[in-house]
Amino acid sequence: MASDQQFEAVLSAYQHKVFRLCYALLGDRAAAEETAQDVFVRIWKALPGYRGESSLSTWIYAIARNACLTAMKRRAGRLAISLEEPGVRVAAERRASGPATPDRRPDVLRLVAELPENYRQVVLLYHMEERSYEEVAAMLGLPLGTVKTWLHRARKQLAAAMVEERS
Amino acid sequence: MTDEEQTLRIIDEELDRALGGLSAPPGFAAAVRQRVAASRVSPLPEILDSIGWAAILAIVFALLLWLLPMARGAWWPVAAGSLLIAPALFYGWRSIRAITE
Repeated sequence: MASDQQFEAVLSAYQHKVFRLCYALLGDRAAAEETAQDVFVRIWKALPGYRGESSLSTWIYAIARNACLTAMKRRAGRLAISLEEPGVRVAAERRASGPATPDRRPDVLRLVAELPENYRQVVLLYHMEERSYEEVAAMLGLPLGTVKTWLHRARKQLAAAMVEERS
Repeated sequence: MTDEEQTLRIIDEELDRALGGLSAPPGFAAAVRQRVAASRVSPLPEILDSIGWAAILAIVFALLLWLLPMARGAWWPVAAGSLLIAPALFYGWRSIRAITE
């Protein structure tokens, strides 16, 4: 069936991008995987009605963002970053054991997790998408200028937090 | 290089190391295909529905022939029956096509 072939092509081309977008928005690997699967089921259902009014990627990212918003509402009240995430768990343990020493690797992921949500999402996607502002803007549906501004402010906050932690 | 530039460089390197190349877990596409297959609508209820409605129409038609003796042997009951059954078959075919597309 033609739509099955189209769906296979979409799945193959976008599975990693959709997963990364969900991970950046939800901050949790397991939730990102489940939501990304939901996204593709939604895409499969909606694909026959896709008429190309917007580009395919814009359409897919909009579906992904909506699915993530639904997932976030569903688990409202829980931590944005799960303590079960390996990086965060290790960071929490390190934090409990005292201040970081200069020879240790900096706990940047934990510092990122402490950023405001919009900054965190931009930082995560920027590094997952090989530092492409355009890709981050397309995935989050934001103007390029907003992405650059948020990223600049987030990096400033991260640098300040890291200096504070060292001192 | 200033202290801030140095710190930003470290941040970039650490984040690239932690997040660069992050991809969907193995088996992700297979799990999606499984969920898609599970959510496919079966055409069976539509087929049974069509058979049921066609049977009801056939019974109504037979009753009319039985109740109206003047209709026996005339051409117009056949035309009326066809007019009744043809749209039912058409809508049934359209429903089945829509869910199997």
